[in-house]
Amino acid sequence: MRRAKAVVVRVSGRAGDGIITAGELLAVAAGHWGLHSHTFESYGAEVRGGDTVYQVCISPAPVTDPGERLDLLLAIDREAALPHLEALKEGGMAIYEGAAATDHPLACEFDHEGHYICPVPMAELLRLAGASARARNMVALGLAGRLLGLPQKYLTEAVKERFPDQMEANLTALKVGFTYAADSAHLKFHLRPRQGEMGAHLVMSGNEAVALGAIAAGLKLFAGYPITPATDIMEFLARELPKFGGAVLQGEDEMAALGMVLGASFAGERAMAATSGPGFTLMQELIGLASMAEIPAVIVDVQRGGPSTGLPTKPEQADLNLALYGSHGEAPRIVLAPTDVQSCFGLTLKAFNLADRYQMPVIILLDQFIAKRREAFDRPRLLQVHKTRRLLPSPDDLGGYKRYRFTESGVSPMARPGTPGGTYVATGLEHDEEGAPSYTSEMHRRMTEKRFHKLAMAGRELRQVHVFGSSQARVGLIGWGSTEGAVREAIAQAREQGLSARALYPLALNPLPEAQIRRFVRGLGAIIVPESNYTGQFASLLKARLGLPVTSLAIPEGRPITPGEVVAAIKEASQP
Amino acid sequence: MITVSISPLTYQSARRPIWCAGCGDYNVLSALYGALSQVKAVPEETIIVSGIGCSGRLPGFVNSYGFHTVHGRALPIAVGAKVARPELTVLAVGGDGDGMGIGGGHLPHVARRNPDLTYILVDNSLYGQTKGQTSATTPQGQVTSTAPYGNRDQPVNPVLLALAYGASFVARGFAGAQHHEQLTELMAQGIRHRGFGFIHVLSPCVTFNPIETYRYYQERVTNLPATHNPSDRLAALGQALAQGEKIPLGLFYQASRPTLEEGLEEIRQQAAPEGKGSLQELLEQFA
Repeated sequence: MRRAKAVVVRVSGRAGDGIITAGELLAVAAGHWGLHSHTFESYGAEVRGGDTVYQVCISPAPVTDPGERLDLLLAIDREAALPHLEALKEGGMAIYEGAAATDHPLACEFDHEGHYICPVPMAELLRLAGASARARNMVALGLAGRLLGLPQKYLTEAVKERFPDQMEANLTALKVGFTYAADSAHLKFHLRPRQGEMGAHLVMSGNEAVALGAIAAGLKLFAGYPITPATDIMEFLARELPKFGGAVLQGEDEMAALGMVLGASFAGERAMAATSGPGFTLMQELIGLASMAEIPAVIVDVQRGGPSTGLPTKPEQADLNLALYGSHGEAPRIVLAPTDVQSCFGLTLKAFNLADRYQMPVIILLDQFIAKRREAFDRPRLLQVHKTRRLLPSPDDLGGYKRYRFTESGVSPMARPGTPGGTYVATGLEHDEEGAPSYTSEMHRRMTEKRFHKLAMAGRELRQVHVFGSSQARVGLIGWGSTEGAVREAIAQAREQGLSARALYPLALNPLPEAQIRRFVRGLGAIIVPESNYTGQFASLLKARLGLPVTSLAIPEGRPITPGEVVAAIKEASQP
Repeated sequence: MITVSISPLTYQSARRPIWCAGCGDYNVLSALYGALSQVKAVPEETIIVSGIGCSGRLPGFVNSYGFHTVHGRALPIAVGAKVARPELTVLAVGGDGDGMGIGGGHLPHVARRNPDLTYILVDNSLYGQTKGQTSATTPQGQVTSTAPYGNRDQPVNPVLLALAYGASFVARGFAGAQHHEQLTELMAQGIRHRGFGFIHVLSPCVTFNPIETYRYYQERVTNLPATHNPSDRLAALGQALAQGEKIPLGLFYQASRPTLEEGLEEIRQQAAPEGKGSLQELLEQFA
């Protein structure tokens, strides 16, 4: 899917200028009209003062990455524009606060790179309209919306929804920008939704999709501790979950948060925690408890740059090892990795079913890129929401109830407190079938096998992979999580250069769909593993588990991998 | 329907305690059987959550649902269970290492949230299960295996902390034979109390603690004065400070305030005054 008509827009300024708001609202308005979009935000960890960039790629056809070279740059002032001019395409347009060259709106100068450079007196226009000079981000939104050809009503609605309390001031500023661009001769980008897609899309972020998936799954308790970039999940659920009969608790730390989740789950209800690296580290001991005591739990880790406080607002895929192996001892757990916003919804729903069915922790690995960006996609078919419940003891089980009874599947009936005859003690100590502490060699071996057997059983329903590209290709890519979009785009770009490649993205990282991967690599001459980290954690996993001769494309720069980088790797691997 | 008469034996499980002969924890356990029978707790509608340590093993000896968890986290886990199933009776049990050391950060937050659960802090003034290391309640100067030159750190005062943090029920009992009835009564009161009940129990470790023995406590414990008014927080704080030569026992403080579960129910009403939310409508927020 090449995006012949995609438009890449970047908004830049400093923290506190409303850059992210302007970019998000542009994506939301475009999506609501029926266009597709893909976004990326980058900002410092400071609330004010740092550089902030929001990039959005908008197209009538689905888009899988936020784009590289820019069609349109909107900067809050000249200083904020300068670092981004080199990213403009030839013929691209840069707009920033400044005195207009002539009386004609958006009168442009050409710079020596062939860019249109258009200073716009945003503050002056706002003053004339009697609006606050602070609303320059809304002027920029109006300018961009009009230049892209978006109907004003979608922009207006997006602003109204975001600012129910300061609607008038923001709408005035939006109109200033929209009208100014309307009077210009430069209506360069004529985007229109495809047939049948007009007004059909939902636009949301990965964090929001996770929260919605959890509500759809019947979440009863969410517990968390504020942490960037996962906090949106908690904020959304704090507002919405009570409407569905659930509750949100803010723990005093992440140990308390996961503790609350395990308590609620032991008591028989669906519960989830969401966090990022530092909090995920604190949760490790309790993840081991959930695995050992066989307590269902869903834990979301929105990865950010690490180690330690690291790069709190930047994406990185470096918690894979922690998700797979964290906590002492050998504690089986399921690890899932959504590859775009839409799959965040479905996989979260699935995570609850898996946790209940196999009575173990399920970790969902997102990263800042997937969690914060906004994508447009079709409404999920809610009629298909399927919920599995835990295996409850039968009346026969309840005579001399054994909570950890050995069974063929490894899954033992789990009594819900309140059930007469079902009383038992769940424990993190090694135990016998009744749950009584037992440290014999025989019991530890059998119980360890039981817990790992459940994981193997879960693997039977975790074979879903995304495979795309040319089936004839000799170059293959195997990746995980948020790099899928860049790889899709890279394969399309490589094809234009006469190179072919194919890619596989598993949605489960533990257990890994090994048979699917083995089938995929047949006939490949090279296997590239792109990931945003330094040590190539997924490449190591593929080598260790499957003995594959992979080439790691590990980029530890706290930013998404770009299609260009993947194309270069494909090119290199294609050399005879 | 057959009515089974409830007695302390109703709560005895088939598993035999593993504590040393003479351990104070036996008295804590039997007082708990008595208290559960006084409040007529239904075994299958009761959850006991514990941490790690000698007293952490207690749920195994009670006929109820139990969750023996990790070191220090009994309280938040109990909060999660109570919030998920407000209709159940929930207790948390743990030692001084568990609740004042590694898990000491949870008490203030549980106290201020005021969930309707009862926390029994079983204090033997050291780590008994691991053979006698210094804990957060070991007195200054006491020699232990990790303080061979004597403990230099000032011990915490659990009752004073619970009062300062705003727990709505704060009591202290002693696991000595003559105080068994009082301890049972305090536990029953704590379970009946609507809100967070904190019960500090002095429970001698007969194997590793040669200082805080039954005799040590018998010489020092005294009932709170008959004139003590449990609704007077300042007076309760004063009594809690009187730790040392005289150790007061009884109900220090009790107040009535909304529970966490009531608060969450109020939020649900406020969020959806016209009944349950619809997923379809929620999705339309994104359309």
